[in-house]
Amino acid sequence: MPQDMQMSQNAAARPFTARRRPGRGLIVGLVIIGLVILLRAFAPETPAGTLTDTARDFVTLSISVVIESLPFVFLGILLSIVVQTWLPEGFLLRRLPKNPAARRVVLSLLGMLLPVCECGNVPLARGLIAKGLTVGESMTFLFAAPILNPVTIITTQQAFGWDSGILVWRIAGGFLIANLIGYIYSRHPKPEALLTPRFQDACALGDRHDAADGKIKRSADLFTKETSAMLPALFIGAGLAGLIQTAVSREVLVTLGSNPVWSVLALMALAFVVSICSNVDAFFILSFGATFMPGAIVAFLVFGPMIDIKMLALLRTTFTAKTLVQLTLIVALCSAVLGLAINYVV
Amino acid sequence: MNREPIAHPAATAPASAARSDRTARRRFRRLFSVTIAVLGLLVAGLAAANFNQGPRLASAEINLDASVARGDPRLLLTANQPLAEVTAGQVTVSPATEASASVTDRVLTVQFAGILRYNTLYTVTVTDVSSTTQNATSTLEYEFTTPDSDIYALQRDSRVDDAGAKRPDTVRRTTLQGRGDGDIVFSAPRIQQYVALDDHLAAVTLAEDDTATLEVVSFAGGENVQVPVPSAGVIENLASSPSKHLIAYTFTSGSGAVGRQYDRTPFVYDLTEYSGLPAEVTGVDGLPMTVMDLGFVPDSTSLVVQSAGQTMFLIDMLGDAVLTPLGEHDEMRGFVPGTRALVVADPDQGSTIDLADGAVTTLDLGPGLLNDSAYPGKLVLLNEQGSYAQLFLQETADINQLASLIAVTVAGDSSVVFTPASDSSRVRDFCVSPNGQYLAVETIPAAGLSDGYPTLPAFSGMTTTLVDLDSGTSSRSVSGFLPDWCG
Repeated sequence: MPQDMQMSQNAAARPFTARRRPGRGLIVGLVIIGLVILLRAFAPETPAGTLTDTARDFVTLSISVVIESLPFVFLGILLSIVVQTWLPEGFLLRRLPKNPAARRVVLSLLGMLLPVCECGNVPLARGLIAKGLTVGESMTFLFAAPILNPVTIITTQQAFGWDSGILVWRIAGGFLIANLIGYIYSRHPKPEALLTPRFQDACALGDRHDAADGKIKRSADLFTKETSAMLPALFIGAGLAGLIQTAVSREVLVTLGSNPVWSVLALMALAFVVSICSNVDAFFILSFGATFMPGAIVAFLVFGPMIDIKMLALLRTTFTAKTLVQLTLIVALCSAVLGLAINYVV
Repeated sequence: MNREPIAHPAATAPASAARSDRTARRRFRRLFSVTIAVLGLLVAGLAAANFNQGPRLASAEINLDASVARGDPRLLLTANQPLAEVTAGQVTVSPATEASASVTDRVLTVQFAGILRYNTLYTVTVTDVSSTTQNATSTLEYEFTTPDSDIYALQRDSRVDDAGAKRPDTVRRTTLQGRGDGDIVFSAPRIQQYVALDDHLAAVTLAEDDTATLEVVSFAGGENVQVPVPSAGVIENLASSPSKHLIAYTFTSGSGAVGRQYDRTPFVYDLTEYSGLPAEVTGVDGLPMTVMDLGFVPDSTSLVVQSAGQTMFLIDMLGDAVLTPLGEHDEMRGFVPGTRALVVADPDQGSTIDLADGAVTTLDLGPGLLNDSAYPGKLVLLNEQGSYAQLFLQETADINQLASLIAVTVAGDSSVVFTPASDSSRVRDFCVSPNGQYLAVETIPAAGLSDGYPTLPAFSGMTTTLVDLDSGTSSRSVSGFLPDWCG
């Protein structure tokens, strides 16, 4: 058995941490809702009129990221709960091939069955790790699923068609990078060290729950736990994305777009900043299609779904900062290679 | 059996595990470092390769049908990066064609002068092209083949079949590269004339009492449509605007018609409005007009008519239908190929009227070399530079016979491009193809017998010969007359 397969057992051996009282969360939630109602009641009718243009852009861009991501986050959380609580023990894992490489290939195609964007994949991947998937395998799923899923494929096809080759490059690039990362991290001697201590604790808690609580109770607990982990990260990521977009001139990025090298780097930077969901990013970048070179567009469409500000914030709930730096480096270099190669050849 | 005891098992196991752990960590670090190094080298190498590569052709676009039908076609070459300015000197076209170049962002526009040749492979090469962001240069090259052209001809058949009935007249369609007379696209007992459009054919057919009917045939199939006419009468001057689906004609009431009497009254019929009625073209103040000739401005909905008083008017049939006077002239002689310059003739001189800006240019056509030894006939202007083709009748050894020939004069230098196979054959008419590449010459054999049609009478055994003006050779012949280029 690979070492990282033992992660959940190791985590289960950690000391049992006290569970928070569920009543407290309810009270905090009610208080927040009350505050929001009061805020709305006393806020001016048209709050946008009192904001400067920059502030309005910041609010609009941040909220747009949240609104766009939120349905997928909740869908991912629900799928995660289903995987962790409602599917029979080992239902998914038992069906995966035994060969590690074949396992990763199958996992990179799992997004075809679970069509959520990258935001929703984080809680789902957390659930899969908790059920025994290795960290490397979860990374393969995490980075492949946003691209190799039907919604993303259809929207990319609608935006760019078949002839441009962008869709094929996107799918191939996403698949290869995800499997490369899965392979590299399958060789990690201590996979649990890639995870945050808090998430390791949560996995241990999940194992204890399995033994003690009913499914509905466990589902409710998981929902509370995942939303309290995901939503703050989403809000922080969306806020950062909005902030950087208002601070960095988009014209600067566009100016760089006409060079075969700078265009790739510029669009990767844009993908990192705008933090747009993979399900709709093709339509977003279509408007830049006339300015930027095809390699740059492919780099945008491959890099963005894997690594961006919002995604890093979400991933930080699960992986250590060092791991995220490593992942960002690999994905960025791979995307750059892909984009530059396309610009050179096509 | 003497077995060697294991020394300090409790102490060696953690040490071994620690060693194994260190090895595994080292292996992972090495794998990660090598991956990053390889990817980094690839990025650096590809970046350098991209920096040293000039612009490449991403796509190209040209309207091939329009390139052989309208003047000054454009080829759009889209590069993969914004281009620096390109001069005409950097552009080479094969076969040699004058062209200019301009750049807008990534798009390099090559504009050809005049119209391109039919069924010809063109190679456009643009050298030393650089982008606005890099100094590296490259050569952009693009090849395209222009389309073949359809050739229509009317075959009148005066023979009778075994049952004693007259054999039908036919309109056949073939291509420049095709063989034989082509396929029948329309047939009727008596066809006076026809015009071919992009998707339709309109033909004037005659009943036994010479009453005319105007029929429209769709190449896509379906029932023929009969265009309503006011009464029994004569339809003449059939003309078309193929790309705009419009036909025009004049109608004259028959002798027995009751009610309003039409006298060469112009009508326009929109083929896209099958259920509609033809629109009468009225003169100044909406009064009925009698016209001598009419024709559409190429690739437009505008009609030029010459009234009985010889005044010419320009009318946009799908616009406000306001009449724009073009002056009084003796004769309309069509348009210079590839332009909207109307050629008109007067007893003392000819001139062109550019309908795009109204500019009138007097034609200063130098006399052809044959003018002293032959009788000049019909003249067709071939381009705006004043090259022209002219029919001549030349005396032969037989004092009772004149031989037909057609000469082309370019910059005062004349050369004969067509003579019938025998001196006894005659040239009935000729016209130039829309792109100015070919002449279509109708010849009547010596033994040709008149068919006696009341309008546009023809002769048995007529042929139409296509003459390539560049080579001065006859490329092929088809049976029949009235090629659609002359319509």
